[in-house]
Amino acid sequence: MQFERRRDEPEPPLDLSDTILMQRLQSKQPCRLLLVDDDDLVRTRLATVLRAAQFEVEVAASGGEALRVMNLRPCQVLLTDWQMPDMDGPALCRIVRADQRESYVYVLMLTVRDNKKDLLEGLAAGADEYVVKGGSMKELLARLEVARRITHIEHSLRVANRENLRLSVTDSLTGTNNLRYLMKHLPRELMRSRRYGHPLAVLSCDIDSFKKINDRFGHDAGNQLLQGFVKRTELCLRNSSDWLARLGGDEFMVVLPETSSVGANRVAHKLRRAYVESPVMTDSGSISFTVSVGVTAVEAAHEIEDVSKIEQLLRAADRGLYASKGLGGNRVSAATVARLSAGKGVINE
Amino acid sequence: MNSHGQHRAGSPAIRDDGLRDDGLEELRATFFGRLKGERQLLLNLGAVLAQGKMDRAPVLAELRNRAHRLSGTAAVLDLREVAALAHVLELAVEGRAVADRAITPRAENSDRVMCAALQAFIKVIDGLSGSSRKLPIQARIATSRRSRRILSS
Repeated sequence: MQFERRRDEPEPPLDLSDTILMQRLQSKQPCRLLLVDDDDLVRTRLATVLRAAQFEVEVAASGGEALRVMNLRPCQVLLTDWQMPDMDGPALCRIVRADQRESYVYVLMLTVRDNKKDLLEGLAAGADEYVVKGGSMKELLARLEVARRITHIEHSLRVANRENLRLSVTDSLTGTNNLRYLMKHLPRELMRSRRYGHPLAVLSCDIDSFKKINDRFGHDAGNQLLQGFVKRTELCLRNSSDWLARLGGDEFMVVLPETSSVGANRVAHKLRRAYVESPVMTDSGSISFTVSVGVTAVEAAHEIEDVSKIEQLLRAADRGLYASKGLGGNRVSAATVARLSAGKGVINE
Repeated sequence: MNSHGQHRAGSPAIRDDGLRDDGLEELRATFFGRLKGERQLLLNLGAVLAQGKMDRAPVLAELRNRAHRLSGTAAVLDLREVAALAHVLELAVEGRAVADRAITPRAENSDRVMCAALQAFIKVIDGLSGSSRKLPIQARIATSRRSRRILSS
């Protein structure tokens, strides 16, 4: 890949009209390029050529200025000279590589230095490509097209990864969080609660006689009911802190950070009433439904010792839920974690 | 910093050979003007080195940096001959600096090479005219011969 400098072979002049025409025929991915060179003539010439090649070009006259520009607006490609007054190309390259930037910066070093030692030093500093000044401008553009391609692929992968991550913690039917999300974030909520001495409450919710609803109205209507349940629940929660997760089937958990057992009971009753008062319209008609709720909360000075005891919290909420179910459903029952270990502590309301 | 302001307004002119100029000739003309300005500076540095009265290292570094920068700019502006000869000067100065540090028997030779490179480059600057894309033919031939001779010495 090393660019060979051939001073004896005259390079045919770069025909920009050809380049522009070619690029109009091919749609190119947008690519932001930062050109760093301390010589204004070099900056002007290269910027003209690169803009004609459909790069979005920013220019900087020094390494320090380049870093400031990059911090203001990230760029995909960094095209830098080697020898500059305040900071040379390899030093700039090392700083860019050391920074934890969200997206990868493809670095191309453009320099008069044409010996192997410098090439190796440039690459060791973190450059992806090394091109000697005075070579073919078409070759430089071709190498920058490689940079455009690679950074576009990297961007696509990053977007896909982000989406995969989102999907991995999202329930596909209702769009709310799933069990994986609960198991990842509930321990964090508990840790935060312990660290700041704030209470934390959990509601375990289950739609009463959901199987019968499915049997009577069909699974599609059952699915629509689950979606309606989620919408109604989310309307009753604080957007900024409370959250909901579907564990599977018709089982849901509501997590209420900074909420005491009194507050959690209030929310649970509010939810229960909202479900009763608002039937869900499905393709099979309007479906009235009720929900059983189990409530538990850890107070600021609660004795849960570590995050592994998260199971105690969930079990306490479930115990409250089973108590509500046992009493015929459409109820709220509270259970405390401490009393749970003693086999007591369910309070029906 | 943005270079938009450095662009020539309007669409690029069409050159005699049918290609778009896109401001290159203008940049070359500016560069030639800069070279003329550099001429005296280079000569002064050469004179300081010839006198041998002061610490040569910073003078050699200054000369090398100037040659390096001129070579890079000329290369991007597709002035291959100027770029080549400036690069030869840079290498010669670097060789002289190495010789200074090593105090080798080749020190005299490297001095001669550096002086020849400097003279050759000055002559090329003197031969430059206007905003021509190419150097005058005599300068090109001389450049080619000189750089070969300097590099082989």
